[in-house]
Amino acid sequence: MANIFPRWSNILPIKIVVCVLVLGNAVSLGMWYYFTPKYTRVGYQPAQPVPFPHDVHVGQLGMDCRYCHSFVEVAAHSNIPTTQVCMNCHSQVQRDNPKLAPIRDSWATGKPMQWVQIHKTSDFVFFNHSAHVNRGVSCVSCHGKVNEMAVVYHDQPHSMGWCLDCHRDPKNALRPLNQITNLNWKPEDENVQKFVSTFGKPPEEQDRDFSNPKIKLTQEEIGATLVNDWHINPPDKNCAGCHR
Amino acid sequence: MLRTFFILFILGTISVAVLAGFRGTKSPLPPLQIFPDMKHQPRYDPQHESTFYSDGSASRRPVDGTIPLGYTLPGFFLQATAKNGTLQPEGFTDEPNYYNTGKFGDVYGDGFPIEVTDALVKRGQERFNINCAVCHGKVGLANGITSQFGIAAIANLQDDRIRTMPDGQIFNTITNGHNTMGAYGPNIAVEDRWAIISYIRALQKSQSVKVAELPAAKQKELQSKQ
Repeated sequence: MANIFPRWSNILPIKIVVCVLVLGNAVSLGMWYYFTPKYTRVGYQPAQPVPFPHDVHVGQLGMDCRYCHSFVEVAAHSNIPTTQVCMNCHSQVQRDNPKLAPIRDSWATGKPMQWVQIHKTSDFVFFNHSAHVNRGVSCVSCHGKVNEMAVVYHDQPHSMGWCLDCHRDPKNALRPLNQITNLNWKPEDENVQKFVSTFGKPPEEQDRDFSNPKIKLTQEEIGATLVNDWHINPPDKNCAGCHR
Repeated sequence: MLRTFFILFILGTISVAVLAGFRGTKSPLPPLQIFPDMKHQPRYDPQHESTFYSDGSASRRPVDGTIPLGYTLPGFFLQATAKNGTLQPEGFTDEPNYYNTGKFGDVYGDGFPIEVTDALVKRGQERFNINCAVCHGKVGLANGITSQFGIAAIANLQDDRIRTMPDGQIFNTITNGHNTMGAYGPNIAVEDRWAIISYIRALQKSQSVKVAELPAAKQKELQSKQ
């Protein structure tokens, strides 16, 4: 009796299994790499109607974030400044610059500027800026070094897992309140005596002597002290903390 | 056959990597939303666009001639003082009294409608450095950063004109602006404006204090340096 299946069909099932495995792994890897906010959101850098350079205004001129985003400490939404805030200076500074024409038009007509929103939280997430900046989370933790950005881009993934990383262990993102808008702050800049006398010693180093001004505090020490002193207890298991 | 598959597979992988790029690549394209779920709900978020109103803005302005009754701007400082039981009941613009306007009738008043405490002056220092120092400078000498970029006629807060100006008139200038200075009322809560005025007075004092007025310890420190 002649062979119904040719000889090469003996290894066909193995070949199919190999192909399916390779393809399956490639698709999973691809989804892991591409289908998360680390890829979809990070790096989003839209063109704004007026190319507002944060690096000039904050980095060079030393303006505080809250000059423009004036209600970030008291409101859930961190406001985009009104045209009037721009015109406080630009009624005189660079008054003929063609790049600023949309601002002058908006000022003359009363039509609001249409800035492009970069950081969008899903509508079922109720993120509150004031709750974070009044409890030691700096702008830089979520928005990156905006003071060095000529054109602002999405720096952090803002995914739920990323939120939870910090909610479960907040000590890596906390700093004293007067340094919230100082995006270049480093934990070793902190004056150790002033810090310890204000907030106390780190909970795990109660017996250590901090009187030597040369001691440099680490982010872990500063964060753990503030968690302890301010009773920081962010919602990490309660869904309704952020989803309502 | 397997060889053909692997060649195609490698070509496919390369083309995906070329087309899609890597994580963190800068791109002006808005983020892909693969599963929209309920990320966009039909509601107006703050400062968002509206197709209903003719000016395209979902945020509405108060109707001309009306005053938002009892609207309180929930300042952080207000919350802080509330702990000590001294929360000011005055709101944002709920009543045209001295606290909210700096005026008695048509006359500028002088003096503080709230108690001037160490905390108030410190709050004023913080707010002054955020909002005012940009032009007026950290000491009020009109040498802020903008003075190097063509803003003319910045008031020197150490001038006798400002020193003798009633507190209510400074309040009015902060609220409504004056000459080339814009209005800061929309950006600074009422209590913070009074805090800033208290700090301006402290700055003026700091530049004109007599040695005899200093505390004894500071006088000694000064003598030891001479």
